Amino acid sequence: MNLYNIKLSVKNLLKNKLVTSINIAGLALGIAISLLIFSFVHKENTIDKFIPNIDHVFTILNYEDPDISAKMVEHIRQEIPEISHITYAQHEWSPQVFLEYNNVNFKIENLLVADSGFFKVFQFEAVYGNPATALYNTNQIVLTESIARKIFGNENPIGKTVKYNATNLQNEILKIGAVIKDLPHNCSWNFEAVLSSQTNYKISWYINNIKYWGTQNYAAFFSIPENVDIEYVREKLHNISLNNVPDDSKNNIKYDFLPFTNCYCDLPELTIIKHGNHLTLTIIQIVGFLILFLACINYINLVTAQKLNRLRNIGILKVLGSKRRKIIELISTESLLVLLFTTFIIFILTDFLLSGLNHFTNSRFTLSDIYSGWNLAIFLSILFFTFLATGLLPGITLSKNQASLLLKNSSTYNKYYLRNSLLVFQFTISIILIISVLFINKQNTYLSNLDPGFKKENIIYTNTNDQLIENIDAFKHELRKIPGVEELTFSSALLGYNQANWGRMMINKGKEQAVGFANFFVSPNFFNFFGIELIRGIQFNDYSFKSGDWIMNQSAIKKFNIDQLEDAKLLNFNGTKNEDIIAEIKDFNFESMHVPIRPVGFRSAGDADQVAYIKLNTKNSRAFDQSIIAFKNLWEKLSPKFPLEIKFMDASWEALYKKEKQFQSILNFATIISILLSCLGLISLTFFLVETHTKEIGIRKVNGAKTFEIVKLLNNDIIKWVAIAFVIACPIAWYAMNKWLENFAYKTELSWWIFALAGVIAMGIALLTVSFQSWRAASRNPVESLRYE
Amino acid sequence: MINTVNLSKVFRTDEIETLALNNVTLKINKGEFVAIMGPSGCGKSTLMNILGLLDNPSEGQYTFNNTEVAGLKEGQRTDLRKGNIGFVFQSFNLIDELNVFENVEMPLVYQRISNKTRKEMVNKVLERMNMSHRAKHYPQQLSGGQQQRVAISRAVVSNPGLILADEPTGNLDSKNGQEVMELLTELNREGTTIIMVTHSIQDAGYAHRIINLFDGKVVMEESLIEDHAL
Repeated sequence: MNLYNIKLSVKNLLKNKLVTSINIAGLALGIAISLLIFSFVHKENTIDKFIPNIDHVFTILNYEDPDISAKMVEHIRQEIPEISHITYAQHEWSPQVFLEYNNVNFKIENLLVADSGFFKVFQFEAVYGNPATALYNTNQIVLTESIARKIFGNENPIGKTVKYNATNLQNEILKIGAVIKDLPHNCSWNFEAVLSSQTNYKISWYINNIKYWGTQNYAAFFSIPENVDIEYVREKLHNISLNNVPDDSKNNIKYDFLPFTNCYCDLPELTIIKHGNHLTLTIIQIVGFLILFLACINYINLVTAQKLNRLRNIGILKVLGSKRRKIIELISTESLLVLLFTTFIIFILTDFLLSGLNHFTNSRFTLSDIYSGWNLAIFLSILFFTFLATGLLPGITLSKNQASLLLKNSSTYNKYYLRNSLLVFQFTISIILIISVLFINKQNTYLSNLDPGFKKENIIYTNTNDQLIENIDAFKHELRKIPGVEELTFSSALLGYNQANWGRMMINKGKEQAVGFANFFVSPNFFNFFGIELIRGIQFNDYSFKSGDWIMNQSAIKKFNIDQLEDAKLLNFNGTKNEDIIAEIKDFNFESMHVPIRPVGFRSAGDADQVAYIKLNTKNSRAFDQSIIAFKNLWEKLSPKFPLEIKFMDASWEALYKKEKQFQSILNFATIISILLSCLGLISLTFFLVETHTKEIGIRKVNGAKTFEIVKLLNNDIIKWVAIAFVIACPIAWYAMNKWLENFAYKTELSWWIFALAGVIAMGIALLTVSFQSWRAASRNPVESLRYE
Repeated sequence: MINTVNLSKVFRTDEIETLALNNVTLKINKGEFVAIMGPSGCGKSTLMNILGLLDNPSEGQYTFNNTEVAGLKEGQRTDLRKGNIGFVFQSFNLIDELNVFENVEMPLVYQRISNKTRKEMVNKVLERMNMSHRAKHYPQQLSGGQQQRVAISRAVVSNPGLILADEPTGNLDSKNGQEVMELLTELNREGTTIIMVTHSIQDAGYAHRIINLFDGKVVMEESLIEDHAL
């Protein structure tokens, strides 16, 4: 690489500024994006792998379900001594949890409640103290590093105490047992702190959790020593002795397990951890490879097509006595220069796009993550491969030609079929993506517009707390006086986000049956508030709270085979009391519309419950703001200890479709990139097409062809290839979208117009891209085209 | 048929101006056979391109068949050219991907002549050129002389009044060259006006008149047939 070569190369590159920049931009964008995608895929594939011994950790299942009771965990612990550690855990049920230190309340998102074995099974790295022994006693808590720093600054907090204020339990003094490192982004757990489970025993009703075999409210995990064969454990679990199990629970036990690392993708029912999706990940991975492949091939194509233009120059160099080696050097230098510059652009691009990726995937990637391990290897080999294909190889093949041949501007270059199939391939992908994007958009719009059967507009909600509940009458009274506030109601969980499922015994027409259903506690005015229609029976009244009355939805009434509401009674937990079903309500979507409506039972919450909904009726945004300010003031007066968080009902309902929206954004992005790359491919193809048809264009024009007739001729080819791509793409997209639709209980149709529109869009983009170049070629004076014969 | 007054053509690049034609005034009558001669770079091809309506002059007037064409737009020039002017080139300029029949047919396609008529016209001209048996062959399968016959077929298929030939024998051996010249002479005898650029004195001998160009100027005109009616 000598100075003369560099000078010549730079001149050459600057001569074709536009083409060179398109080239570099395409390659850099393709590589940068695929690197980011591979980083994400790598993260998903190595989830939890950083936890020591994680390959020997398993999630306990009962009838393929990860819901386990504390009794069951005890049972397994006693019967299978080969298991070294076993633990159970659950999310804290309180909607809000605060830790008070020096009179300041710190909110904890995602508090986990676990028994003492948790950090023995999951050996997270400690910063202070020993997590493995930190949960032995009641009123102990393990914090993650950043929350510890938030509360205690840089002090070592071991042995210090905080005051625990949760919706379900207040004013408990907790001791900090240990501090662990922040969970990295490739961890499926996402808690900020872990509370020892005994702490909650102070809640009177909580004790049922550990008393009964049937209250399967925990997720449970065990680990085995390396020398124990897991199949042996499986055998023992399958044949576990049921001698000590009460008779009525014997039929409810059929243990199994799944490797913990599989649960991230394979067991979405395990709601205690985060989840990924195999299908999405595979799609993203494929898209990443395609983008990389297309970008490189496009680049190589465009560069080699351009080299055709330069054959004469190389011929001249040869005539002037340049050795083959020199010519190879010259071409290689040029390619190397471009790649160096491209690498620089890639660094800038990845840096620029990184925050987007992190925001998008909820991750914390750094630049060094992007350029490490496999990624770095891929990156370097791509650069090397591209160098070979655009520098060394063309140098070798071009310099082989005889000078006389080169001067005539012809060579042994002919890769017509390859170029065309590549075009078809690129457009197939683009069309599949366009169809998918259009369709996913249609489905998402359909879901957003679908009536869930309750009114969610103009409703704000917030979580209540103990202080507020103490002043609930004042709260209700004062709130209703705020102008714009129309109505107030309460429920035990936010509509759309309820996780409570109850199993009960029911006596229906004299026969006893076990029934399961989703469960809500609601204020008596709840149904009126949300506009949910009563089909028969009566609303909750003042006595309903005490007497334990039920209101059930149509699905429940139908599924439990109830004819007359009076026929059916529910037995309470200890079977001592019969509860009435006083009404049937019309079915509505109390969960996201991914699932069909299932049985749900409502009970009266009495005065208040954990979620307070407020219906506002304000004329304009100023009036709205004033109502909110008044509400805030009231809140601060009645529950000064707890900050107010106001959310909108329709927004949180929309958020149920976050995954789809996210998937849609990913696909939108991929589609734009894919179309961009396809256009680049098209540009290089047209470039090539025009170069090789210069003479023909001239001849045709001399013989009377008009410019538009030449454009038509050049475009015909492209139209043909895009049409073929369309034919290939349609069935693939149809199949893929049908598969995707299986995720939904409510689906829109795969209309034909989506396919047609995608075809039109692809064709339009292709023609626009090509026509510019073909127009330029066609409007050239034929005299010029024929000059160098 | 052709009348030019003070035709000039200037080629401009960023730094240099080249005067390719300098005040060329010409008159060529219908039915004439004119040879244009001169050394390389004297402007022969430029003149041919302008006369053939492929290019516009920078200055001057040009009347073709009583129409002023000097300032026409490209589309208008194409329309005027179609069916009126045929071209023959030194390197034949056949399209390699098309066979003989399709090559000859091309000008008719752009004149929007119906399929059936086209077929008749092409077959007629190929028969006349003794190329019927080669109709399905591709240019690479033909000898140089045959290729030029195909090119001439293409030039005359729409019965144009004017044929412009740019060194039509330049790539041919003497025997084939002679054949081509005889063909052109025959066409001329049937009434087609022919303007031919050539380096060969021998070929120029077939013409009625020779125009000599030097540095873009007409330096000499000589008539070869004294009694030719001008």
